[in-house]
Amino acid sequence: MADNVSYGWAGYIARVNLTSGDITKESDEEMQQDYIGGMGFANKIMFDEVPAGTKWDAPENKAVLAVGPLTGSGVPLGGRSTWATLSTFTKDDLIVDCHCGGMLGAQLKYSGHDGLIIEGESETPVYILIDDDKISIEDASAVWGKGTRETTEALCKKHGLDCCVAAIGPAGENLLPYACVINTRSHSAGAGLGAVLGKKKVKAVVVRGTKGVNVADPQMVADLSDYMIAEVLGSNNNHVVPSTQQSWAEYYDKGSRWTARKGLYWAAAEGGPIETGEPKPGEPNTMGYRCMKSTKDMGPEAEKYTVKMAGCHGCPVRCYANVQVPKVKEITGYSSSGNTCVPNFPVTSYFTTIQPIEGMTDDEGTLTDQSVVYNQVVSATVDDLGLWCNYAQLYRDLAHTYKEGILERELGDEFAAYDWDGLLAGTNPAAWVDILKDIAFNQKKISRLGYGPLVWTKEWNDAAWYDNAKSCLINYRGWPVHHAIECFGQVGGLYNMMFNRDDMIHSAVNFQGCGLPIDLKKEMAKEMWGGEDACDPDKAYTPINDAKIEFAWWSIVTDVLHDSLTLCNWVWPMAMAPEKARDYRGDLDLEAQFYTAVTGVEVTTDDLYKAAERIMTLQRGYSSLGMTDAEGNMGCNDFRNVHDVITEWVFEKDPDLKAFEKGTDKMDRDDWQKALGMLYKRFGWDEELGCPTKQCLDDLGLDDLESQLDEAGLLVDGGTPYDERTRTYAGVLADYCGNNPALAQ
Amino acid sequence: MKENTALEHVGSGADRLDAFFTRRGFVKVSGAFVATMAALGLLPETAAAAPTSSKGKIDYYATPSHVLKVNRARCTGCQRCEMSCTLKNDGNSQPAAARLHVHDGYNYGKELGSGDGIYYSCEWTIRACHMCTTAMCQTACPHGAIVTDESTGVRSVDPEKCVGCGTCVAACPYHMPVVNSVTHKSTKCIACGRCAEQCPNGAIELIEWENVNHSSGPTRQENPDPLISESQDYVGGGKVA
Repeated sequence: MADNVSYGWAGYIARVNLTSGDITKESDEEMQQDYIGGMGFANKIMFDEVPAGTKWDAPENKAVLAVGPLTGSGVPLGGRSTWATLSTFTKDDLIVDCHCGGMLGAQLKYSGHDGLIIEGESETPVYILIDDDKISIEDASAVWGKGTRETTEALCKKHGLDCCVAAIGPAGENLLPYACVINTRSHSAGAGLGAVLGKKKVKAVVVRGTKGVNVADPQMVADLSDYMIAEVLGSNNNHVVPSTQQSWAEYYDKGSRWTARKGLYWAAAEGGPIETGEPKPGEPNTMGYRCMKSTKDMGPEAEKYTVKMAGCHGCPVRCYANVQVPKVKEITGYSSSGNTCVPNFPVTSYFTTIQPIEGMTDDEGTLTDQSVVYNQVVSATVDDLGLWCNYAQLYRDLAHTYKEGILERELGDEFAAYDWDGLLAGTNPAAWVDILKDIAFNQKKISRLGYGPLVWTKEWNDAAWYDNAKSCLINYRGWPVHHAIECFGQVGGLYNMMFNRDDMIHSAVNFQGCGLPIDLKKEMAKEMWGGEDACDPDKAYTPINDAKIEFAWWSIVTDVLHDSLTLCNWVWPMAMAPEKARDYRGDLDLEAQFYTAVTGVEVTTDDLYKAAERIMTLQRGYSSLGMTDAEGNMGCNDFRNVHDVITEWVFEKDPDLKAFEKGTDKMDRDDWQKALGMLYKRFGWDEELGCPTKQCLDDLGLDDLESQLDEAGLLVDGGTPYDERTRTYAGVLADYCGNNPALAQ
Repeated sequence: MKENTALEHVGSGADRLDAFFTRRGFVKVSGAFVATMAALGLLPETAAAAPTSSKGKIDYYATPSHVLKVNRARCTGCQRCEMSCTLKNDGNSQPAAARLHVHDGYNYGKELGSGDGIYYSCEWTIRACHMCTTAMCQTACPHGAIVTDESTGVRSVDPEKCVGCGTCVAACPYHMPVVNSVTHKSTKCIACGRCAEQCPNGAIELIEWENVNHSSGPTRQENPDPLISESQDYVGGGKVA
């Protein structure tokens, strides 16, 4: 092929300036090696172009969507995309990543773009149309005010049914900080991105891509895919054992998301029920039945409504429930709904844990038919409104403020507008629509819940909520747990501190829930993170040690890596496998092997981890430039005391038990502070402050960040040199990977 | 519950020549020969009409060795078939140029108002080449660019001859061929089976060609829901004030 062919990357990023109307295109070649794509590109562009201290609703803020070299390339689970913008709901408006699946990322790539920079602000409603090389700003006045469903339908009607429409709903238009961007019915890019687009008057991004992703070694991509699917990949969250005892399986675990079994059906499938059966490792054509997510999330009554599973572009693990619930259609007008995350079970997993609703479970505690209706009414409603929940915080906050009388006190006359009695009696699921609509439209008082706990706890005088274990708030800057201390104690706690929102890291929780016995996990932990004591059994945690720090570091860098490549971190990395013949070992080198096969550039796993560390450190340094200190002055590098402050309840829960006793995941204050310092050291950051050091910035080649930090008086000396703090991951599981086609070369 | 079998469909219904020519039979004939055969009443009119183009070199009596059998109720829309197809046959990942089509129906089915797609029935059709015995794509090609493999009877596009005019796309009753937007060459299914190998749900199978001359599975809902865009602005029937 010709020398100018770009493999993996499309090679270009589109830039749309809404103020000037200028549309341009620029090469991303210089960023490829160091920042990979996706989160890396988006963070680099935000750092370069959006000055620290910018407010989220200022025209100077940008929304940057990016994909990576593996997006749409045929690599399994390569369908995700990452946006970056400034936070609308956490402290100081610092940079956040908004991840989404669906079809958006792949379509963008196929249009010939690795990214889209949306800058400036339009005076009138617009949408951005990308039809391969043709990019235009179009009038959106006809769809302004409409839900994401009608918007999508109208724009697909106009531009082609094969388009991917990523749209905001009323929440984004009305600048609700909890607004998201929805593509492909129910795939959400959250963290307030919808409000940022709403402020810019961007109703939607419409993408149609008919081009290809050039692949340097297509045969190797195919061979690696076959190998991975045959023996390495498990189910959703890479759970590698089935949830019920099955003749082929040595282990089973009832918590596993490998939920297929004989007698469990996609019961509403066209033409008659389709049995999920017993899909086994080595059967590529049954992979998509392993994760029966509707009944896993919504209970046995959901089976009869289940048409099929679906999910993101490029993924053979089909984790997305697609249900048709007649009562939901009656209430919302929408015949299909379903999700794989919080919107699949918002009521019964997050609301009723605080405020019970009658009739959600039967006498045995099994979820009822009515609970399916409740969950899916909320699901269809929030998707259409483009309303994000801050990883379920909205439902916890709603339940809490109702139960404690805060809503009744604060809403005044508006409180009586909602049928709370019917809602809680289990007789009026439609009450959800009224409540959620008013939150999304951002006019009634109840919408303050959609500003996040940073705002409403202050206005409604309820700061104590942060310190209540039931709140699940993990950081005072305004975000909740996303697999925190219950996931390997300090490991989960540490990575929950890293970003400016909930972490969305699944590398560790996948390992925790994979279903393999703890003794085997400990053997695997030794191979991967240097010590069996990297992981403990649930609620039997031990004090911090080097292997746990390594595990936490690895969880962070693999997540950042996947958000950059882009691969799905809800399943990747391949730390374990369902195949007994390989002793259940995964294959940690697959990312690097796929990267090389797709791009033609030789890399090792350690090269990629280093690039991910660079991206994490860039976000960290960029955050410190905009972070305010206790006095409110901008520019602060004391992450330990200002940013990485875990909420008090983790130290105070289970009052009858001490930290490290069996039966609790309670944390110890001194141990936590020690753990922070050890993790900082592992990243080359300052061991006291947790900020990037001159040494680590030099090691990672972050010269621009270094000079900006220096100028702001935030640059510190010290830091452990890269070679002294890192260890080698490439090939650590190679002994188990005899069938890996890249090793056969 | 009874296992789902209702939706499998095979072939095109355009296979009436098989009574005359044996399965996998392969006869290289000229237009004149066909005209004579038709005049003698040995061929149906469709066959006689077929070879009016393609420079008289028509291999249309070859019955392909294999065909894809699809079940749309099993399809979960992941596009691994489309990517695997192009990785194998084109050396890149380009779903829009794949030789079978899933994604174009994923949102709304074959057309808006069909009642299909993830916004409505959650069903959409896997559009695969019917491997017609009389292949209209081939007979219509003004450049003779769709050629038959003598051992398998499967037609493929000769990129050297193809000029990307799109006549084959229009001629195919199912509009299966695609003119690749980058190479400007047409593509059609060659029954390699790579899509089926990679389907995580077994919704596609490569089977030995059979004259299964029955109707396809559904390609739309009998009673489709009214379109959202014609009935409501946002959830619950809300209308903008």
